[in-house]
Amino acid sequence: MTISDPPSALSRRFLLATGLAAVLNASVFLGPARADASARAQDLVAALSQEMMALLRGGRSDAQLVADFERILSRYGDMQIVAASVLGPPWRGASSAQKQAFTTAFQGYLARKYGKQFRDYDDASVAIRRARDGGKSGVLVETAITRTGRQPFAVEWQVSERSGAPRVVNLIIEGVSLLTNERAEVGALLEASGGNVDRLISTMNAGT
Amino acid sequence: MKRTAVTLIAIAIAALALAGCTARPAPSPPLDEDPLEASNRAAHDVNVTLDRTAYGPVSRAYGTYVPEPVRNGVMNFVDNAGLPAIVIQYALQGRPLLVAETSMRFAVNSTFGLGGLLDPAAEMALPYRETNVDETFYRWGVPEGAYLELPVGGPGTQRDWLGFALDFAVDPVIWLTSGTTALTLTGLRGAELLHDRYKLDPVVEALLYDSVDSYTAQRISYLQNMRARLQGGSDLETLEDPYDDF
Repeated sequence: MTISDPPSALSRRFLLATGLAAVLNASVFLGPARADASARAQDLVAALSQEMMALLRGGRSDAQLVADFERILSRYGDMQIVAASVLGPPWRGASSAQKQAFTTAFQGYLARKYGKQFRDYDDASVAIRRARDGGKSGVLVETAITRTGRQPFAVEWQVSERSGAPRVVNLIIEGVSLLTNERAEVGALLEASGGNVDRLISTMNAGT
Repeated sequence: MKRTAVTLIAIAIAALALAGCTARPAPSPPLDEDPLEASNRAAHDVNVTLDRTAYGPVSRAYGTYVPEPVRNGVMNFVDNAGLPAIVIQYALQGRPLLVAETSMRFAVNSTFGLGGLLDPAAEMALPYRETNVDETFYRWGVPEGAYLELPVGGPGTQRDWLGFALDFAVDPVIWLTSGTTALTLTGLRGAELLHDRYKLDPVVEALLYDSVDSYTAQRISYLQNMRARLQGGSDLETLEDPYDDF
């Protein structure tokens, strides 16, 4: 190749293509890492919902469903931070054994509370509508859950990578945040346990 | 029917003209602010009792004994009869596209949908989209006010309840119908309330009967849902980062 070579059609096309990509691809503005975070968050939600739907259609018993759901929670969610955020200030005063015990108890409580409710959704379909990047707070992946003959409803999955890997840290169902509601509920349970974290843990383990 | 349509169009045009001035929505108060808590909790106790003894069981009977096609027919009819009021609200909100879509939906379902019993408009990309005076107030920048649970009425805010009263006052279908028709419509609206409660049964059960503090569970769920609905989704700006505190 010599200096006198005219600019090739290929390189012009390349320039045009990169220019077009720059306009089309938000990664230029957000930084490539953020666009990837958005894609990773959507992949996580797609994998998670596929696994959930397979479970629900598998004809499992209530007990099996709750156990499977608990496994999904610990694999796809950062349950340690969800538990910490829900317990709030008492988390900081807790010993590491108490933190571990509370996280396990809370995970079982969530699986029982929501696992059985999901039973009616074996005919549902999950479609990813959009993903919005909230920066440090993570990516909000919006899905539409549709059951036959019913209006679809919106579930948003907040996916954060602050633990080092993409993990679900909150669920927002038709605008209602699971973190916000469970914080109130666990707060009320803690109050009923006289503010004693160990009693709260055994109450939660006793189940409902 | 023809006179109804002409009146509606006249009201819609007047409203669109009025809505030229658009305001910014007022910010929502913090979720834990609840100045009317004492009277709200008293109303809540009444409502839970009413739900346990009457509203819940009757709505489950409605869902169990009335066949689904009939329930859906009632729902379609009631939704369709509510469309003229919705057209007016969209006009007051200054949203001409939704005024046109909703008017079209009303025309299609009132004719091809056999007076609203069927919903062929949904197949024509004209889905049911509800709005009320509450959304108009929101768009005009009227603040939400305090959370206000009313006995029999249930959860709401001061803005919602004022809007709810006005929904009846400005509903053209109520003004333009009379006697048996108006009574029948009111009866069907009552049946539709049972249908709503039946469809939401698992959610209502979880909130009212499986929560340690059902008043708070219902209050914060209601407020979050209402705000997301009016804003058109969750607010990315106020998304909490659970890692921040730990």
